[in-house]
Amino acid sequence: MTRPDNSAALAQVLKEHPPTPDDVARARMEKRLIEATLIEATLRPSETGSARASSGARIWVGGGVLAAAAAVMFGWFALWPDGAVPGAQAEFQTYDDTTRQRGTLEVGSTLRTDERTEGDIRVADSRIHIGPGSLLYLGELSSDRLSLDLTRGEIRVEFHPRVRGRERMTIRTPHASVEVVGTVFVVRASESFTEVSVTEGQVRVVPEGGEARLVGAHDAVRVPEDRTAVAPSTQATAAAPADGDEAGPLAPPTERERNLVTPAQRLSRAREMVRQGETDRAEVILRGVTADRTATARIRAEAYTLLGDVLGRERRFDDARAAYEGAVRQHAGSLSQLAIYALGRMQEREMNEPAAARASYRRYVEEAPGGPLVGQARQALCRLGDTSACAGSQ
Amino acid sequence: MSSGHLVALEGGLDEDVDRLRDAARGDDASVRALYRAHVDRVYRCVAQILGSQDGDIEDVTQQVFLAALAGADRFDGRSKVSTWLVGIATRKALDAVRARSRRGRWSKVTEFVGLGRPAASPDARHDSLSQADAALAALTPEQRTVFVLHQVEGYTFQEISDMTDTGISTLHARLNAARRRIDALLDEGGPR
Repeated sequence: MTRPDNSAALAQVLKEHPPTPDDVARARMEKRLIEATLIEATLRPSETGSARASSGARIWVGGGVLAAAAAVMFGWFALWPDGAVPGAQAEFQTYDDTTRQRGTLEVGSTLRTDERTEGDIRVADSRIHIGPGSLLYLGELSSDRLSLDLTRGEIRVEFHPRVRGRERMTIRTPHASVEVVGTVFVVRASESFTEVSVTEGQVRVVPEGGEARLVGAHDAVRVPEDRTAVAPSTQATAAAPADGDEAGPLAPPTERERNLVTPAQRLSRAREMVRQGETDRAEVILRGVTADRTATARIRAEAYTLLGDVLGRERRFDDARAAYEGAVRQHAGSLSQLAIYALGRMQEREMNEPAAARASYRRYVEEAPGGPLVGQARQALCRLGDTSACAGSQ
Repeated sequence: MSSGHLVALEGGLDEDVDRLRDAARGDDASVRALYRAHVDRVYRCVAQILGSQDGDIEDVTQQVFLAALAGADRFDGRSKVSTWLVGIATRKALDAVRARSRRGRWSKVTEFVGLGRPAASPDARHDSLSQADAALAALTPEQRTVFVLHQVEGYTFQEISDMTDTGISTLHARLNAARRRIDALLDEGGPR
């Protein structure tokens, strides 16, 4: 009887050869999981299927990589008055119609709100209100400096330094930097422009490629996608609210503006292309991301590493090595460390360069003693003849 | 597995349950431990439903763990944590398959799995895997799920029923249909 045998044979093949993630994939998933698992305020439909149910309204709090939710560290914190404090945090809360979530952000955290959610960050006496559909990265937090990257969306800032003139706040967008010393203002960033409107005080808007401009109360400016000019906003009048508490509406993005993409989006697209085997197109995009000055170090590191993987598969080993080393140069923590491991693996398995592979694995172990691939790196060193690593390998 | 066997196993599962609860409370070490203890199983389940070469395996695997942490308070301990995770993985993978078929991408996945396309370095092992993948791809997602969970992973129909909220008689019917389809394909010399 052949029929039962066919199914049994198929099952046997699948049992003997189960799909398993390779080391790098396993480490990558672990990293992203850790970065993503910190706050998730997911609204679920009520049992009665209420129309108010806003399932899918999520609040991801993360840090760094925009393609996946990134890290958030919990803990309560008060802004110390005496210089930078390692692990300094800001209090935040996010909310929508039915849920309110609180927590803290550390340097390197990212806060993202969806279309139904808003948030507030509090740092000492300063407050930042985050509008729906926003993506904000906490770049620097110390006693006298607060720096945020607003990739998209809208924030309203009330900055009240305890020592005027000493404490500074900077909001960076893809097109400009907004430097603040004590004021209330709104920054709106789309994919192709940044608009700043000031309610109280004064800010200085510095386009990435142009001259700075001071923007005073009841004034607004727009920095377009070429990042060179600071043009008066047509919404300047509307941005000057009668009661001084709420900013007026800004012009909606055009169709073309909506179609433009950020480095993180391009990286995500490249990753998808690699999965689908479109490596030539992916390589072009990845090279663009690595050369993009507006991309964060973490984005560039991930793009370099993925580029190295692509080139390695095509046996363009010298180019792949250069790409991995590019990732390392970004000094992007665990992302750069993964590139070191990936380089070692390529040197061992594909290039047949055991000495170089040992050096790479050794470097990984030294730079990432608590990293997810330390065990595998030690095993590899043992395999390559470094007996000192054999005792500690898993 | 008999219920008695399950009871005996559950006595040794406190550590896993504690790890799940600690992970859900945000303890990074517990999240890592939970992940490392179960990632291969979850990944395997997802890959067997989506297809071993599918580009969304990692994303769905991550979604499984995130869903588990978000829903840890609903884990009632009636099954092992691993079984519970496989249930989540099954549902997430099926959701991904159904969403993809709505977008018309399934044919691309089927092509990639190996129908008429040799591997970069073909060998006997890869050929048999390609055939296996292709045979699975020829099943409906629901048939594939019950075949993999029952025939490959060894779960009982009751366990699969709990995972998928599907009646046992329906599962039997799907498994029989899957077997007939596989047998017909392999008798013909492979999927077309």
